[in-house]
Amino acid sequence: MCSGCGYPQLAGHWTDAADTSAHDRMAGRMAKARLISSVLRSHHIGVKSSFHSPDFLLTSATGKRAVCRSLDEVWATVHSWTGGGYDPLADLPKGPA
Amino acid sequence: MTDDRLSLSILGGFLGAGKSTWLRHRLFQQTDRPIILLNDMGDVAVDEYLLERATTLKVVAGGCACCERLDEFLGVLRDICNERTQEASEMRGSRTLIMETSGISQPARIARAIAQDPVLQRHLRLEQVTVVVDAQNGLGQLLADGLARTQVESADQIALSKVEDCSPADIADLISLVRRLNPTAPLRAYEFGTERALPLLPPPRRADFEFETDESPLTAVTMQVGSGPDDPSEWHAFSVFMSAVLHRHGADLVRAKGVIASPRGRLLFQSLAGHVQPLELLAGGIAENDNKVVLISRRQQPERLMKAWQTIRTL
Repeated sequence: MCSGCGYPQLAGHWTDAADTSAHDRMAGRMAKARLISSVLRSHHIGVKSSFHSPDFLLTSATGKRAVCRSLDEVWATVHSWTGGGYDPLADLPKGPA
Repeated sequence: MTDDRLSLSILGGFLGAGKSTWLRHRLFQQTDRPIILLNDMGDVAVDEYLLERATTLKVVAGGCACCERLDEFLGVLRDICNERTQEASEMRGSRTLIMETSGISQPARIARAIAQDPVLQRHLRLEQVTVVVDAQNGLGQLLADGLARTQVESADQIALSKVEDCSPADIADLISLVRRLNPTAPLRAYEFGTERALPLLPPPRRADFEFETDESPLTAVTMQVGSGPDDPSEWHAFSVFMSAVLHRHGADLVRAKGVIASPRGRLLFQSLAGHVQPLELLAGGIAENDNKVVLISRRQQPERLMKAWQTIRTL
């Protein structure tokens, strides 16, 4: 909490800032994982998150696996696996999952 | 005879330098509640939510006050002066007007335009031009961007923001560069708008600086999140999209700012050069411009950003 203006700054990764409970956090991660899987379908990368783990699990069609704690780590892994080939402004998914 | 003119201070500084944060905290520390005139490059002036301690808050949004919105800006200034003239002298409230410029404005141009306006000359006394320099990112900005250098050159005083996270050696290098651009303006360090004594600084590691100029124009686009200002349903899509764009194009996405409706409440989202600042949970009710995020970028065409966002929203 800033003593000057009273607006609290939220700790943790910014993409988790909206979560008010552990349940929210995990449900939010599952929703994000579904969305990212849709986005990365053309790169054959799958993303999962479950109630058993606070992480994102990335898998590739060639058998690679990676556990990522945050979306920043997810995108860094995707960048590495695709050789920089994924561009969120260019690789637009075709339609609803 | 006393000088009854409004005292005008211009607050400038590059995109994300911390102008609004600095001003917001300064307002909490002073008893006088000034009139604030806010200029924002984007269509949505997010900072108006943060400056609630102003007596009067006027906004010129959707362009820069030193060029494309100059006439509108001068008109708003004349309106403020007229309103004040119509009040009985004993009823006149604030004697101070602070103008926060957009991050791409040149304060010197604004000061010149005011000085050349015969009406404003009679009603306003330009007190000072304060330019905020981000101690964390300022060195890179000043080396890379001619506009940031011009802002520093025009300052009467310089406020170093965000010094709390910088090493003495980094601050020494930045001050060395600032002093080369503006050798005379008093320089003070601030942590959230509160003045801090600078630590004992070592000699700067750099004395020679090579300047570059990125000629790519800055463009602003406003991204709509959710179906309305109170709809939190696209928070997850927003966080996925923005995190991906910032990871890949962060260097070109100079600034992003907006208040997002989320399941937790109204979140102030701000990024600077690809880095997201800790989100803040805002008080107050839903505002008209909630769920609108202004993106200011180089090289990324607004159409591409909008098309990609629209695609993500439909998934």
